[in-house]
Amino acid sequence: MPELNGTKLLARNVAAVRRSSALAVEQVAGNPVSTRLESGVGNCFPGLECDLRNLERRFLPFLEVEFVTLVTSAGDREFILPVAVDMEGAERAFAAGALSEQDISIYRDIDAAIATGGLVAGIQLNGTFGILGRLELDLFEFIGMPAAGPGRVPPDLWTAVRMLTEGTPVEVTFLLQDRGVTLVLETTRARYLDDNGALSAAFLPGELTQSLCSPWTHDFRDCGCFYWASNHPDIVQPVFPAGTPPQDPQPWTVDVPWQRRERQVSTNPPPSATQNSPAPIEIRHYEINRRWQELHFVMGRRETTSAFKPIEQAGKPLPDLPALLAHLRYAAGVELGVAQEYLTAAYSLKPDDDATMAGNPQLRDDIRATRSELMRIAIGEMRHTRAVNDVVRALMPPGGFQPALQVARLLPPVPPSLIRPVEFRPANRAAIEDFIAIEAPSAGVDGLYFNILATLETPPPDVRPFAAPEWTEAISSIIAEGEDHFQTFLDIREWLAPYAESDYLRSTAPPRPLPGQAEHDALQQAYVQLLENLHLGYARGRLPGASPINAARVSMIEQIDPLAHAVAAKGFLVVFDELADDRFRPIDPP
Amino acid sequence: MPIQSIYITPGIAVARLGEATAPVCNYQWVDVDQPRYDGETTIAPAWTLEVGPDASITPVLPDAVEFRDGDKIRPVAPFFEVWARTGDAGSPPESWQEVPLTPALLAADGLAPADLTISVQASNRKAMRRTGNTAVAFGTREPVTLRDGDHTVKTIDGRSPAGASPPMIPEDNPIPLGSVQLMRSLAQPTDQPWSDVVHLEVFRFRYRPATGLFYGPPDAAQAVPAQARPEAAVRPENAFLDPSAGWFGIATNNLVSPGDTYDAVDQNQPTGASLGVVDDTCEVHFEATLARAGAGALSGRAVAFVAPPDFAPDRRPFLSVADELNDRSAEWSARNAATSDDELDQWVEDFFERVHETVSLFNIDFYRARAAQLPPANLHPDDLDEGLRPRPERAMGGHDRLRNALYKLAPVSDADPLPLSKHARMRHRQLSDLQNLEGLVQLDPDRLRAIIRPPFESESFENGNATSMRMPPFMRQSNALPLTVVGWQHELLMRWLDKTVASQAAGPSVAGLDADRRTLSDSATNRRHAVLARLATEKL
Repeated sequence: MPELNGTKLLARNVAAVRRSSALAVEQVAGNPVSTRLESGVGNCFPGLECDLRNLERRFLPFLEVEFVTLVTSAGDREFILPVAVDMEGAERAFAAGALSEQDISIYRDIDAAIATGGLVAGIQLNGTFGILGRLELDLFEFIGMPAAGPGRVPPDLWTAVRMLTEGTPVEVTFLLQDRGVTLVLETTRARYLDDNGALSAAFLPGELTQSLCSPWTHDFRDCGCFYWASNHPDIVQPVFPAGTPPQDPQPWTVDVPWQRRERQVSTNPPPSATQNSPAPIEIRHYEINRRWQELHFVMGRRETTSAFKPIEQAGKPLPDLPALLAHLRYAAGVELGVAQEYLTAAYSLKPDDDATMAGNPQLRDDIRATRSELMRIAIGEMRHTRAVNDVVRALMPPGGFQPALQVARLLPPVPPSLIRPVEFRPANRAAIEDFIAIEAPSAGVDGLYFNILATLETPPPDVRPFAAPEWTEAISSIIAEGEDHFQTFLDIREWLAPYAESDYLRSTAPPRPLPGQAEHDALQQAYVQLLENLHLGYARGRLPGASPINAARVSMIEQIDPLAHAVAAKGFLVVFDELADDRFRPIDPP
Repeated sequence: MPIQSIYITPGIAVARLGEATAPVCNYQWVDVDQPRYDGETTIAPAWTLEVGPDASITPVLPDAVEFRDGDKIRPVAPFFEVWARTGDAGSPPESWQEVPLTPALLAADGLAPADLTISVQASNRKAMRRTGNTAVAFGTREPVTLRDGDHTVKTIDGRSPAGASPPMIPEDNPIPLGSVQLMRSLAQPTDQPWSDVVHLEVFRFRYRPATGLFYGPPDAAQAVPAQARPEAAVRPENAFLDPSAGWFGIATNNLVSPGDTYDAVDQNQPTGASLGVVDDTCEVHFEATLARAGAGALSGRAVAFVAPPDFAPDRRPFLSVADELNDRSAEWSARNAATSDDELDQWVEDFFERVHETVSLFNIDFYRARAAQLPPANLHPDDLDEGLRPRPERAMGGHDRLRNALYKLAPVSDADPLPLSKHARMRHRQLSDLQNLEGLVQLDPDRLRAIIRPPFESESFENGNATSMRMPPFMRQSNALPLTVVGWQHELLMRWLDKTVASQAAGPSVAGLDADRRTLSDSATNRRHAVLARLATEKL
């Protein structure tokens, strides 16, 4: 199916406005997509761009009608009331042979009855109602029931007319009350657009918008996403103030009411939206007439006050050596941070001998495979940490190197502009989705490395003396491995998809252990020792440091693993405490 | 070849209000160009037409999309182009060529640019519709006319109809409804990066909407808290409408549904007397006419709707104005039939992406207040949420038979105030990947048919305020009944479902337990086998 010039407009979705023309789907030069009908919300009550219900007021050629409820002996019923006749058009059609003598006389009779103030009502509607096929609706009897299941009818008169198939025969029986006669108009369901995609000339300027709110802001105040979420959000993430210090948990991921009255951007995010009506805290009627331009545009669910720039596909060289080093040290911290997340997730999975998996070897194997891959990737991230440290060392003057082993407090943003802290969670679906996001090539972790790579490939003057191909290859290798991690998490998502989270997790909400919990404390001690070994090894350099680095690897398998299992077996989440040691304390993004 | 007809493109466009001087640049929906974000929609700047002081056009490619200048929102101001169909005299219309209408094309036909006129009419009929009084409509009395040689910006004045007594809008103080300008036709270069997408010779005009102001009688400039009017509805300088013209203080008719869609004198009585406020939106009709000596004039039409900004420009509706118009066209069955299986896959994935984009901004936890009380036949005996969520016998509650048993839902908590909204975002993001959607079908072939509400269907226990969780749940259609996809969309969805079920039934079974209920991608299958094989080896 053709997409238009690489954009997300599928030909099948584009309004068939210009018939017999392939050009109907093309874009008009200079016009943003928000000018297109594909950007407008179709369900209207009354609507934002237009109220399409006004189309049905001209479903009969040469007639303008209203759908009106009248009181009958059987109760309230809806009828079709002609309010105007385009006699000039009808007479022209008659002269051209397009209308019969009988047809034109009906139009003339209706026109005369309207002119004298007489009641004219369509009381019978026969036609082809789209997917419901041919129906004959006696409007004295029609109540829109049943509107579901076999033998259903349209739920109301407007919907019935809305469903009539364009160009198919329609019969309407009109009652002219003053004369006590009925007339049967046999015609076809009118076309609403002309051959060139404009509204039919039958529609007057202002007719499609006449029932929109007056003023339009009244609708903005009254209606929400049960009509038009795509143009008028209910809930969004608030503007993220520049320079906001990182926090854990990150409070700026909160969903807040978009149309809130209190709009000042402050150091704290607005209160969360709730399951209660937001109306009391929203901009009020009348007030919104003054304040509507204060409403924020929303990109990727987050409010924005600045221009939107597409995500760069390639990295941008950093300005100088200090910036490059800052990014590398942060990158090492990110590797440590995601490794911790993956380990936490791995230990949250049920062990092989969990009794609830008895008789379900597929589930058991899926869990085993997931755990194994989480561990593999976590170890892979540790390898990346080492590679980054090698690059940092190479860029530093002799004796100036300090190992980069501070865990990142916040992970790099992934589109669309989401930044989040390192978060210890069981391997629930949300966590897996986040793992996929952070490992996505060209995003998240890789987005960070792209800038580093670009700096090494196009080094600023103070980096140029150190920018050896070896370091470019090291960073490229990390980026390449990210693709494997990304695909692995996609596969893990598939493996776990058939199961409830409670099927494969030890607990869907395991508590975080407090200091003093014996197994947890033991794990933290082993974790610190691991970092000490890594620090020692990295500080010595690649070859001299091999021994302590190897010790770290061994401790990972022989100490960390059983201790983490022990924490999980106690029903706790496996977490790694923040360390105060300057060498290991959390690092913020540069 | 001679000109046989002319038309304006786009035939219908949306202009959007904004007070800033510069309009929004051209931008388009695109995929985030990253593997993980396949299907994630964003926007990208595109060739934008800058209009010079002499009405000449210069294409530029911005590196960013500015939606506002300071505290003022940039308007969306669409361009319109006049095109022609050319063909030999007497030739069938199907053989005609569609080409931009240019001075050269006119000259080839013995015509001049001055033979082309574009007339512009604008109208705001909101007050008229609610009162039945034509005197309170306003707009152009005479069309604004564009003709080659005059490329000035022409304002569109909103005036009360001639003869209205008293006129709602004072004669000396019309309401600006925007402006229109005919661009200068320039020679088309062939060596520019935009040469294939921007045509400089074509007759082109631009409509720029008004700024988004409100007008009313003097009373509308007053705040009356006792009448739930905490603020003035209009600025003092815009409170010049005549209160005796027939809009202020008038009880409205019942032709507009819902009936409470205007600023009232007393907002405590929202269908009571009108405060007499109007806005500067309108509907603009354009007609291009090409006079031909000795032959009938040719004409083409176009329309612009003036609307609020699209505040979430990277989110697409799953039921757009275009989708609705397509459903009113007789041709949708043929268009559906012409959709190949590959195109169908692409369309279904795109549709679910649009659903996800809509859901992503939707507070479902709040709208669950619109969940219907389910009849016994729609209830499951067990509470899937184990008593943790309120109203389990309402739609989307723990007893709802339509709930997917794989997903328990968390109750509202301080840490998780909107669990339903979060779950819906996660779930619809997954399902916007065709592979996951196929997985859902594999698990339960009947699921999509059961969960997607057929067009215009409404069950006996439902109404405009209470629906089941059939998709889209808790939303309303244009006449306030439960929202549904439209006919052509539903037909494509069900065709895809049938195709997928048949394909899965015919496919090879998957190794392992419960193989008939599970489809893994090649990657997931291969990796799983490799990992399990490695683990088995490690155990030995």
